[in-house]
Amino acid sequence: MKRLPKRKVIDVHTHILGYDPEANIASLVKAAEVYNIDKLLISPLKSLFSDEEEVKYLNDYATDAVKRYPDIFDAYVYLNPVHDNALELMKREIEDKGKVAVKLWMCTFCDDPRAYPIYEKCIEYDIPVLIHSFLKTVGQLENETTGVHVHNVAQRYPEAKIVMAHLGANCYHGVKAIRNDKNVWVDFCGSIYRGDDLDYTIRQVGTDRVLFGTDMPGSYTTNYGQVLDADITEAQADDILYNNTAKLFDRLHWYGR
Amino acid sequence: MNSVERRKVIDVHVHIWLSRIENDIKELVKASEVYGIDKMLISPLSGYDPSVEELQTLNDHATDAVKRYPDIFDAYVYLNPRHDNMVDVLRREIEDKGKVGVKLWVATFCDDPRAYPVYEECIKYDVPVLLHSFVKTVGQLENETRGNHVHNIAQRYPEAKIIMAHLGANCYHGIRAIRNDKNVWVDPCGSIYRQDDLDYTIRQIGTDRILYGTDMPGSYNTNYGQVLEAEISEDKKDDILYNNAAKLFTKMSLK
Amino acid sequence: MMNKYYDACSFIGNWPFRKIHKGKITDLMAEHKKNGITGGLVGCLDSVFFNDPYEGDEEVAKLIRDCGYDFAATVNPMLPGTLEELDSIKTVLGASAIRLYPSNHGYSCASEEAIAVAKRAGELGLKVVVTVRTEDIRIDYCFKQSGVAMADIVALAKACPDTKFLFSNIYVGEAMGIAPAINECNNIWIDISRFNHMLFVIEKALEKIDAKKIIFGSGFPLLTMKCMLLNVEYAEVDDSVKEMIMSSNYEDFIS
Repeated sequence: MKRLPKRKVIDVHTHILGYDPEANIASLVKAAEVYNIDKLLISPLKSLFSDEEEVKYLNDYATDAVKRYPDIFDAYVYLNPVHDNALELMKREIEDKGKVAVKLWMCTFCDDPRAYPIYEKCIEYDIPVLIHSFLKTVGQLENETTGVHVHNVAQRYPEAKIVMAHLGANCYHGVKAIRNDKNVWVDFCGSIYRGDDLDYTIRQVGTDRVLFGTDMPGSYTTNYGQVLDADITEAQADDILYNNTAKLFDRLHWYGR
Repeated sequence: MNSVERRKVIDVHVHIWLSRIENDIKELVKASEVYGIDKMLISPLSGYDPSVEELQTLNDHATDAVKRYPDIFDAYVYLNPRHDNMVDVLRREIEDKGKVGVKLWVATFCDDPRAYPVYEECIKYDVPVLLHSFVKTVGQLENETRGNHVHNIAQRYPEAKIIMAHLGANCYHGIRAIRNDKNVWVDPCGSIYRQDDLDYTIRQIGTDRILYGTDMPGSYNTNYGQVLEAEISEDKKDDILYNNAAKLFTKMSLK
Repeated sequence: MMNKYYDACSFIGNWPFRKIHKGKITDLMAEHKKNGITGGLVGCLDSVFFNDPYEGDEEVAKLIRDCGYDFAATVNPMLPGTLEELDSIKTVLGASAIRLYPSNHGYSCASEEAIAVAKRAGELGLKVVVTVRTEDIRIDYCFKQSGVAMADIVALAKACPDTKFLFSNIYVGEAMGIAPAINECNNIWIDISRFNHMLFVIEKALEKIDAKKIIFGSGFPLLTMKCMLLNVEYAEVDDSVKEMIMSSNYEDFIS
């Protein structure tokens, strides 16, 4: 069986998880080689509700990972909107540590007023914010954002560059919620996977607002296969795999890789 | 609107209910005139598990109704397999009271061993036994017969002439259960009603084992409409509406 | 000489909960052709939700076989008459396998009905595919799947040693959890259609599961064609192992 030809790829959604970050880094580095990925955007995660100490530890770990593999990784700054020092931390990570965007996870709903200042800062810095968004019929977490919350933020901050992750888990819910919000991009990574999810999304929002992400250290091939199977032109596939992200994330570091 | 063409009809599944006997008889007689029905086979019902005395009252009411309207009615003897005198009642009602078939309802499952003598006697008298059969996802009664129980009895008594009423309620369940049992006839009557139920039944078992019944004093037109709309020839509609029942019920009086 | 590559898990038809845009047999053939797949086992999605699944299968079985695929009939062991129907599933529909949907039809694979059907299937040479899920339960819409216990499907396979089983739509974590049973029972295979949760998943699965037991399945069109295929293509394993997954293991299973 033959491998596929090399394409330019940026993966906007990968993680190093606080439980075994070194194993994750090793997996991601290997994946970058095996799958020939040009850039992986990592965010460091651990507890569903991280305290200040954990947030600092995680962001430092990401800084270090980027330092060790500068041509493979760039990183999000992970924030907990509840923390008093969130803005201060954001400033340091963006201005001094080379972080390229913000990641919000499950500490609050994304439309919690305590998160508003983060969007305002993101607009100032002109950086995207990646928002975990996941609607489930079982196991919904207490502060777990869904497409509806993303829509609220997009309406409140039309200048913010928002990335709704996972298509909101159930694309028929998430993508429907944000399809008229021109400042919302989506990635289709994560553990939910169905045959028509990406094509449905493209029918709803076109290809310009779709970014390639994988949720590694989860599967890479699932999401890559979805792009290859999508009913779009090769040029549109390249937009999803690379160009849209390169345009949206203008702080990425390139070292001639 | 055109009036519907007159056809010969035997309705094998009609009730008179104890709480409203006279009203039911009045409505049935009216229906026979309005719809032009040649014969209705009535069974008398009351509670789910009637006592010996209540059962006798019921069967006497049916005898009386047939006596009053012999051109319109014939009757089943209604039995409760829990009763020790069940076989006596059966014999007396068939031999002396002119009953033309047996009706079992929800006192026991139809394949309860206490019901076995019913089938043995029915074979001797060559009378059919009409079995209420009704699978539901809600409200299933404790001893309510379903298609698979009918199948068990058909297998045990291949000479018995068994009628599974209501197509078993959900035809996809009931008909599948009995479709290879050549001694089981079915009627499509009752409160469950869908397009394609009758056609599905015909695809599975043909028309020879289908009888016409309505569950009156419930609706008449529901089941009549189903037959008129079925994807079969006019001859086969006549088989369902009349000929199959005329052949099966050998003791029935027809003009 | 082109290799024969098989897809053990694909379907045609409609799905009640979302529009399927590539549900025609021509869509499936086009996807397979594009990816060098020459055959495999195909079932009918519509039938899963029919009261009588045979009616749905009847419509497409010949079409599927005429297009060069093996046909997997939809079977619900809890429906009356299913056991007897296996003969016509084999001879009339020409099925190579029956596909069970316990999570949709809501029964245990360790139930006596499921075991009886699987045994009879084995006697007829029909393979038994156990669909562990049709959707991720977290995105169920209108209808909740009941879930399938790994212990039950292993018990089913062990109760029917002369029947060949494919555990389909199993998660890799579930498969690893029952790896000893998969490896030790020569009648169990698994497909990789839902190996979508893990990086380098084929390599990791092979650490626990015998390479002879792993078969490529796409899950198309409920899932995409390419995703699991890429897992095999990119896997850092010997080409001979990939050939087994794509080709000879399916032949062993279906023969």
